[in-house]
Amino acid sequence: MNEHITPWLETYHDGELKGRRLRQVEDHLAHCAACRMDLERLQTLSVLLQESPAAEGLTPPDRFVAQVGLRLPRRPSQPAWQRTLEAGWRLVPVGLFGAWVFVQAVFAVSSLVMRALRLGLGGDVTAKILPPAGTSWLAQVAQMTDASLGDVGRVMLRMLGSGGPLGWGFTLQVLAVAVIGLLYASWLASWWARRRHRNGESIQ
Amino acid sequence: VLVLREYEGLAYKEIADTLDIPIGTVMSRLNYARNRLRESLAPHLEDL
Repeated sequence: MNEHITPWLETYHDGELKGRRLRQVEDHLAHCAACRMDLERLQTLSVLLQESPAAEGLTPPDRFVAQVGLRLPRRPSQPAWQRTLEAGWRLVPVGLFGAWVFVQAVFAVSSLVMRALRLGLGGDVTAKILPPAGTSWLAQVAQMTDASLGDVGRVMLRMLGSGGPLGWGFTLQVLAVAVIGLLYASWLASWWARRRHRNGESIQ
Repeated sequence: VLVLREYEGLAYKEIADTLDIPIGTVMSRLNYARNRLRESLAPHLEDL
């Protein structure tokens, strides 16, 4: 009973002792002035901490870290493939627009070439309308096409030049509708994917 | 640990869970923190 309870004093002060050990410490404190003094010092320190103005400045960041940072369940970070997929979804309309611009440019160029070829069947008119060969790439392309393409190629180019078998108006309409439809569908898909992703997060 | 104990009033078990350390470590760190605090306050206060 004379043995001091110093190792248990702090735990007792924090109210963490139970059962036999608690009774033992209380019995000892009842008739040991030295240990009572130790306990008092602990309590003074506690009171001092509670009352000290420094505590206010010190607590918020620590409280923040302790309560928010550490108590939150650790959320798995978004996998790289998911981020790539999301970025890809966002880039789909851009890619489609690029493809549309490319197709339009190809059609425009081929139409120009075909018109030049058709006008210059004998070569004389081509030379009159277009700048002299060698100065314009368009003239060069026209000459090359005229010289090297076979009949099948020429028929295909002519069909391209006139906007396909059904003409420019129809082809352009179909293309415009298709592009608009694709843009709309891709936007819908990306919206759906993002919403599903967000729902998955909130469930976690 | 001292902040969690004194200002938050968390039990040893809660501190251990929060910081993901054993209870023994909580107790030893508390003891260490209080001793250091006492040392640094000693010049200004007598009855610590």
